[in-house]
Amino acid sequence: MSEEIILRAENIVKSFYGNRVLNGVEISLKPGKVHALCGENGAGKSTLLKIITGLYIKDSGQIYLDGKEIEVNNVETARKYGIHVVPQEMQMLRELSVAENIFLGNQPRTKAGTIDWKTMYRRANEVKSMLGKPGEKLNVRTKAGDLGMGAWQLIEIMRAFTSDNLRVIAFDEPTSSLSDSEVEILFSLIRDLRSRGIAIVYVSHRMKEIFELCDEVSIFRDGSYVGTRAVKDTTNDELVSMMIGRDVNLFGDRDHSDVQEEVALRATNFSHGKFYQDINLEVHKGEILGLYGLVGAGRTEFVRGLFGADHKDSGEVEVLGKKVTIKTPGQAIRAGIGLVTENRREEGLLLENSLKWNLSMTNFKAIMDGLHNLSMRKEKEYATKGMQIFRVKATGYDMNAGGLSGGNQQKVVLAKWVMADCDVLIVDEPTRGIDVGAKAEVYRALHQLASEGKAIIMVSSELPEIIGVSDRILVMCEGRITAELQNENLQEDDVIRYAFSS
Amino acid sequence: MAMKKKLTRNQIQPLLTIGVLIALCIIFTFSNSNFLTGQNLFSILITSVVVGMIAIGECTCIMSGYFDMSVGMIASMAGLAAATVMGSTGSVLLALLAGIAVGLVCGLLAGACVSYLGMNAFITTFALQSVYRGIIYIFTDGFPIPMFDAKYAAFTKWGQMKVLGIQFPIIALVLCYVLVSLFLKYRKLGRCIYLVGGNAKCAHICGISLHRVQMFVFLLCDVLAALAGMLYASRIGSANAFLGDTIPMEAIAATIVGGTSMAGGKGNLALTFVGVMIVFVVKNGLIMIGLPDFYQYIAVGLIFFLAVMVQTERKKS
Repeated sequence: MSEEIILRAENIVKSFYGNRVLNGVEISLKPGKVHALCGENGAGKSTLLKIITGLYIKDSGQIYLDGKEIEVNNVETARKYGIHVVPQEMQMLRELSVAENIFLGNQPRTKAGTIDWKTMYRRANEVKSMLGKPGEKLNVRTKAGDLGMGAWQLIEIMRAFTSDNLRVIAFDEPTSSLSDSEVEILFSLIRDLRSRGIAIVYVSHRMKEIFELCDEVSIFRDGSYVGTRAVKDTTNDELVSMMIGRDVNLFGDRDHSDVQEEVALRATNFSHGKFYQDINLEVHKGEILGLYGLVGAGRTEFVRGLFGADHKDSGEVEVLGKKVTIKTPGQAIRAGIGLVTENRREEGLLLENSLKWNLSMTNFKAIMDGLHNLSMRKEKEYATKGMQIFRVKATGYDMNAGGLSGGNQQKVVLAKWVMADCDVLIVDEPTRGIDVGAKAEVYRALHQLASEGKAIIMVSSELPEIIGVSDRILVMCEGRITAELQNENLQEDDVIRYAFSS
Repeated sequence: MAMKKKLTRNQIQPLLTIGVLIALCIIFTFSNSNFLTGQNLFSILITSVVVGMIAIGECTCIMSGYFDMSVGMIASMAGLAAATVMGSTGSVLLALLAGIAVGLVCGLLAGACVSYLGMNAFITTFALQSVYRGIIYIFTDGFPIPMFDAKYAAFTKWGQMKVLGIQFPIIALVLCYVLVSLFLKYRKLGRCIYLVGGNAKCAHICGISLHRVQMFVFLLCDVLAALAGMLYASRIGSANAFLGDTIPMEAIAATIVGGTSMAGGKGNLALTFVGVMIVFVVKNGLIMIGLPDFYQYIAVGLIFFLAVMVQTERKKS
């Protein structure tokens, strides 16, 4: 290739506990280009990113910086070479100021060896000014714990700016915890970095972002390198088929024929302080109701209130025409409602316990014998069935949930609720952070449930998903429902305009 | 792909614990030929009854994510309560009920503080322990209630009688281990203890009542402590004002040695029993070697320390 290459990695091999996760992969980063790494969970893109940035050590293979081979054994070495990472799970010391977090482990010192606070704050303001407009609102003396994820990302980027020879900066799923406006800020920053000739690595599951932001994209599948494409010369379908090795109709076909007359759940007069006010909705048997809105519109708060997971000021629920009192999740479950929360690692799973236990915990009745004792045999059968319906990739039901990939974890959470046999299933961001293949399976499962006459409320901030899957769409904005739309030939613009306050 | 099957931490840990117990027994057998005699082994067992019984409750408590530091004082209070009631009524049943009532009240108190008020379990029970100590002083001035009088005979005979040549407290201990083990494995509430310890938020969303589990573990823990205190008083024929400040520490040590996760969610009673045996084999062995009592503190402390060290996940480079 004639173009200049800053960093090239080739033949990279990495194994964990005998499992080969990278199988001789390669990547070339060019100055002033945003290079996306694309692939399903477990494809190896995050591992490669971590090897380049010194978080993991490769088993074999070569990394070249400006044509010279380098050894990157830890984050510090990587930084010396000008290679920085903004990790997915950002580490901040919440009680320390923004400036202290920027210079963590690298604080300016006075001659006496104590921390040179004055210089630190001055330099912190210098790197902040490099952010341009996004940094204007940020005070470097604020405690990191008082700031949101968007600001944390700015701190991570500023850490990179403290280096005097920034060459490569890698972003690992940077938008997964950001609101739309924060994403815009991030993108403008990345574009700014690009214009300064820095090579950018960008890992994301969101195809839209790749087409919006990136110049090149490398695709990985099962730890192998599939190929690299210029973004302007490729299509969404080509990338997806490269990622999963076959063609896929992501959302499946949906013709609203499953929707029945009977109302499965009716919620009236739901209010909770500033979070949501006067929410009324109905969902029919066999219907997938999409609940769309921006982050902070009150969707999650509302469904949690409905399910009894969080407090509500008022609100009445009818399930299949019968009035029910719901103050705890236990009452909701007995009324026939299930909730797949948006944060599977915090509330969805027992990461340190077996899949078997994770699956049976919503439905002990199914694994009890006549004397109300838990039957180990029944539990194994139950778990096997649960894993089959979602094709969970695991070594067995005795495996810990924490050992699964994100997509498979999400399948287990869904399976747990599907197996609980609820009449109404609420799913909150059901495909957040999971790969295309797993997404397709989640949608397939939701359709399957609807065809069995279950009612589904799907909360999502992904418009293609809302439009691709729902029968009917409710849009929320600032705690209120602003629109109800039958999903017939809807375009994204038809939905999104109700999500912004007028 | 050549996959070398490595044993996981979960599989190594039980083997390690049992291995340590066997190794200790071998070492002490070589140091003193009297160690490996039936008489001495039963003596180890009988002295382990109080801590062993309390370790059952402590283990369930830790598995659900909490600690109970007040168990030692509860055992003392229950023994004293039983002895007092026995002295004034002469009824074993009433004495037993009095002791259990002490456990129930203490368990309700600790459980309610943790569950409904959201207080930190370790600190709360630590504070309660001091309260209980004060109550014991007020009622006894620190003196034991001796039960050598004939009117106590119906109470003390339980601790001293033998069934099939085995002392009753040992049988009671083993019985409790078996029953609670079965409960943990086969009952919903037993399973929920693990689930709440593993991830309380997730358990809550899945409809498990945190209040019920939290109340239950503290009730179980404190009632078992009360039973332990009464068994001890019955066996030695005297209700001691202070069974010993080391009880909670030794019970927690045994639990952790047995591989119960300090973070909650994992553990089993069979290995906790092995942990109890390790603690008491060391205590007994050191005496057999002829070291003064004080060395036991160091030994138990070191065992505890090592167990915590083994369990702590270290960063692999």
